[in-house]
Amino acid sequence: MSDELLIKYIQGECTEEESRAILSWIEENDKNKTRYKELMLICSLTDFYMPSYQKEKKQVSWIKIAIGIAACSLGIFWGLSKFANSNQDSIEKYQALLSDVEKRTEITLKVADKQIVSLKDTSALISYNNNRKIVINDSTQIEKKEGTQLNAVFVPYGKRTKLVLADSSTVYLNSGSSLVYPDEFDSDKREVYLEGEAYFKVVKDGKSSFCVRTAYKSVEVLGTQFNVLSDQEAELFQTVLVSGKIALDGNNETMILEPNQCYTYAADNAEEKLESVDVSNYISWIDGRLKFEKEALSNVIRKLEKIYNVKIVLKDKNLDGMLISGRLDLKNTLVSILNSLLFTVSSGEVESKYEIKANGK
Amino acid sequence: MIVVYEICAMLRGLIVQLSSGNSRALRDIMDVYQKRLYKYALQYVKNEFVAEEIVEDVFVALWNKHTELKDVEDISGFLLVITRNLCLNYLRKKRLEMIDLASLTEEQIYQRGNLYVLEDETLCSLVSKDYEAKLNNVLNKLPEKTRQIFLLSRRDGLKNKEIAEKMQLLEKSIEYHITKALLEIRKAIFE
Repeated sequence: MSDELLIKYIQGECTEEESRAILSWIEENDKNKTRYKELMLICSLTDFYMPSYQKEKKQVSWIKIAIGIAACSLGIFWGLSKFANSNQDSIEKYQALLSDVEKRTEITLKVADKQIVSLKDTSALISYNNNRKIVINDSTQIEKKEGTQLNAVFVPYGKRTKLVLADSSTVYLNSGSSLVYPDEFDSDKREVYLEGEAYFKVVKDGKSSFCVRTAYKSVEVLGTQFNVLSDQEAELFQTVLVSGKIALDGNNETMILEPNQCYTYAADNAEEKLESVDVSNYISWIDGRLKFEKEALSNVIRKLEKIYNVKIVLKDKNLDGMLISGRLDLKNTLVSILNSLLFTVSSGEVESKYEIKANGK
Repeated sequence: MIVVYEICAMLRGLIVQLSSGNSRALRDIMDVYQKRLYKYALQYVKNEFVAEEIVEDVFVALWNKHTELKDVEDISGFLLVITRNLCLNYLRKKRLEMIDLASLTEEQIYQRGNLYVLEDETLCSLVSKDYEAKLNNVLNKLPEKTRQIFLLSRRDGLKNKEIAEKMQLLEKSIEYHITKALLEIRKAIFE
């Protein structure tokens, strides 16, 4: 049961059939009932108090506040529902698994029975294709439990991880990302859940498709290499196909991507775009390089913030929208990278043009 | 600074006058609260005639108790409690008619669900002076677009489709923003 549908019900904007089904859902158990009661109470009280809310019309300095999407960050398991909104219903079980591994400072792996492993490295290799054993960094081994279990890995800002799944498909997880996946794959479907960004090299196994679910869209593939970005702070979903073929649900129809195509979806206005691109601009992060072409400086800065786990403040706001092209080697220090970046877009002493702060994340 | 317009100051004077038997004050208080109480009641009883009647009964109850109001600071809470109780009474009377899920009319579907809300004492005790302050705080912090859409929906009563047309956005986007705002409010109240 998605929050959107429940709220449409409360607003009286759903169909009669939907409302009947939703009442059944509410009465199914106490958890559902509580979820409904809370939202209904909020809505009715808000209706009562809203008329006296007014924003003062005044010259105000614009304050930008990023609000994470509340639902996803709650991480509470609401239970499966009968509803057709298929991207919403079962991702809740994935989000529930992430609730106690996210926001840590180390790469964190959660295996069956809630066993949690913290990895001190800056980058880790975790493999699942070794005979019922999970191998970490070619040394540590964990026995897989009987049956198929959902595991999760969280990669904080400043770190990266390479994951080899049970079918030998490879996932490169970028900084600030999480993946939920089964430790063994069922024969008919391979499904994982991603928050953040990852590059997938999916192995064709002849019998089942591979599906990447996110908070926004799902990507379905056969044997293929592609990049997926699901960024809940920027409210952005983007996928780039390198080779093979992928399918996903666009707003109105199923979209099939060809190699070198990029699909972008902005959640806050539900706008989507399909275009041909130079894929190297989107996947250079895997080799420790950042390549960009006519990209806004502020976007590049944001990527650097995630990779180095810092906050970068540009003192000259005019530089934000400047379009730049180039290549950065991430093995260099952040200071030398910023200096060379700013050298290209401005004149004078570059060190004074920016400030690096520790990241509160 | 984003400022919230509150009606407290003016109301305080009206309440004092009401408590000393001034019926003109009752009319003025009704002007302030009628529409809001109606919207609130309508959410629960889902029937326009019933909601109108309930609001009338609320003001009758207010008048009947006017002598006790001399030191009352917050009349909003007082009116909401009366309204809620009247809605609850109405829905309880209808309960027997709503036993068979399959044969419910659309109105009854909502009424049956709403009984759960109104019968939950602990939940309803969240009606406090605090609520308005918390609500305003959340509203002030929303991104401009989300706040705009939310106001058009909950304050101005526009349907999602109408807002979509007005703002040249997809209806799905409107649903997204309204959900986002309500979840933020929910987070502020329940956590």
